[in-house]
Amino acid sequence: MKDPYEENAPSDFPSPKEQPPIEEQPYAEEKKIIAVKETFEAWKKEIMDKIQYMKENLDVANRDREALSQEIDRLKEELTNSKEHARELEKKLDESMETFNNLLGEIRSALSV
Amino acid sequence: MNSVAVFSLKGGTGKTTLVSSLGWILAERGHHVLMIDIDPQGHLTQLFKEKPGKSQTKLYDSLIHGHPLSETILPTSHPNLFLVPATEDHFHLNTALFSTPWKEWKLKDALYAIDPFPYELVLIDSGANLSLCTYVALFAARILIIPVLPDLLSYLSLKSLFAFLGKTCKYYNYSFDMIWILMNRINNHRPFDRENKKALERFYGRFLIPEMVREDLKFFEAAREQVPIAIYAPQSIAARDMRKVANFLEKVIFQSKSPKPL
Repeated sequence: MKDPYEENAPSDFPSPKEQPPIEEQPYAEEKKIIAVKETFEAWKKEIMDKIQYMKENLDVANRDREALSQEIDRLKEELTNSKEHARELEKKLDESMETFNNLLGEIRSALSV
Repeated sequence: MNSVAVFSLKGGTGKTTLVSSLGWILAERGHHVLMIDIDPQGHLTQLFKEKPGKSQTKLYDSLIHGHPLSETILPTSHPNLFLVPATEDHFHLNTALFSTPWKEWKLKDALYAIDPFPYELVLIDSGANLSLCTYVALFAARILIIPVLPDLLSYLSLKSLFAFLGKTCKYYNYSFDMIWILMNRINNHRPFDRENKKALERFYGRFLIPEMVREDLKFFEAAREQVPIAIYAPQSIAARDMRKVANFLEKVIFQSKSPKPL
């Protein structure tokens, strides 16, 4: 398989007048003479940046988790309430059925007389 | 005049974010910066929440009717930072420019007509298309910054843009002083991003800004709040990276300029 980057490498380049050559760029020069201590500091900073990046991701994930657990608690409470309500309705239905059967029995006995 | 156009053919590469953040950071460092929002979407204007009054001269009036550009400039919340805002007229700017003579140079002429020129840097935010507004933005700039995302489509659009720039500059006998590519929203932990970075270093090395802006969730939060990242989260990774890019640009634009012979 061909490398898509190589396959689409640029063929035309504009020619800016004052583009500093890469080796003369102030940053390139500075990077060449960077001391060991500074390199260590740069690595340290890089690691700290990575930690902060991961910490920020973790914070977002924690916030999402908290929101989700709150939603789960709310749904559980709603389910418990619904079950309670269903039990009450069943009880009322039983009572209504009993009243209905009693009335039916009374009607039957009245008709047989 | 130090004028910088931020442009890419691909949309969503962070042009407006870059202009707003660099503008703010450089203004904080004491530079007088003028931002020009020539993108009809007007997101830069929205970020700074600046709206011109009804009687205020608009960029349209300046480019089409020759009104002074200085009359279009608004202050922002930073005393060193100024903005030529986008207005609804921007939607008709392209059509109106079409029948205007010397249309491509209108913004450059309008900028040069400001005398004395009080700004050390002009940052132009243009939309991701090849309209006359884009030509106007490009020909007003001495420096071009192209933000790219670490994906293949951005890489492909960069090739098209370079081909376009090569031909256009030749046809119009125009040359930028510098062209810089900025890798934006890169995540070194992703292999595809690293692959893209290597390809850019290999094929576009001399144009590549050595600093890059890393991916940061704060970008999205700042966009939701409609505030430049440098103001919303100045200590975030993205804002710190933007400051490094600003350091680089300060060096190549302000410090490495050799005095020109009279």
